[in-house]
Amino acid sequence: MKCNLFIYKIRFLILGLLLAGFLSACSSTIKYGVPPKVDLLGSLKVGVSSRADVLMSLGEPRGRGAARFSNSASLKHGIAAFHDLWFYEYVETDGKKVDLKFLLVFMDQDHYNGHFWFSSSELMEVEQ
Amino acid sequence: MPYSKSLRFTLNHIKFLEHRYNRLIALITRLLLFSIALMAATQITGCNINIRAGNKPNIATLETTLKQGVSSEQDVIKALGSPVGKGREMLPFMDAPRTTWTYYYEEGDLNDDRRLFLFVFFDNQRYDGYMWFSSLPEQGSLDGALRNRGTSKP
Repeated sequence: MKCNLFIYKIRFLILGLLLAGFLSACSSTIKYGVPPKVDLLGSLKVGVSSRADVLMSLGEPRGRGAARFSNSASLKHGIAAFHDLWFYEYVETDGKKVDLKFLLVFMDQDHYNGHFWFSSSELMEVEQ
Repeated sequence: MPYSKSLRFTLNHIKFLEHRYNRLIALITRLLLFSIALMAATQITGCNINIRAGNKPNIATLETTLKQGVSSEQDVIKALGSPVGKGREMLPFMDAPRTTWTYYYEEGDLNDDRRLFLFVFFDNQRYDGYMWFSSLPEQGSLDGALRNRGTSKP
């Protein structure tokens, strides 16, 4: 009986350790994407820098997009009505809080035309 | 005789308890094996937690179905569904504030997670433009299609 009880306790201990390992594996830090290199945005020139220049500076975007703004507004201010968007995103979570960094790069046909980035954390060291 | 009968009863009782105990151990063993199998499966699939939020709007309709300055709010709902939120915007190059409808969709698991943002602009309750960006993999082809349609400069 004592032997059986010992085996029972060992099994219970193993089960506990396995569950603990499983839970700790699930609660580790999760990262999606790559932090956008916003400190390199200053090297890009509106209307001059090409797609290749943007790729060289910022790397491959994680996604794409598009924007069409009001015709009247774009006519009045001389900006393109249609823009390609390159989307860079980075999300990091430890299960308790989520930090994110998003960067949008506006492309006017084949040239860099501006950017917009925001972040929920202070991990960005250089601001543009 | 009564003593012997009592002893027999006690022995039977002990045997019964032992049988129950063995069955319990067998059950725990099976549970343990099940847990190991479950753990192996979840470790392989990265905990297998799926994330999904919102409804994915059909962004192709932004250029194919909706007409700037013509389409109504009802047309937008018909094409894209109901928004998850509403707001107002006044961007630097705009002459007046506009109403903005927000759409958001997200899907993924613990290995990868991707999302789509869509903002639809209205001027006097008429569709007046949009901005969307997405890290969903299947949006690449739509992006190309829209790019070919909309590279007009003022």
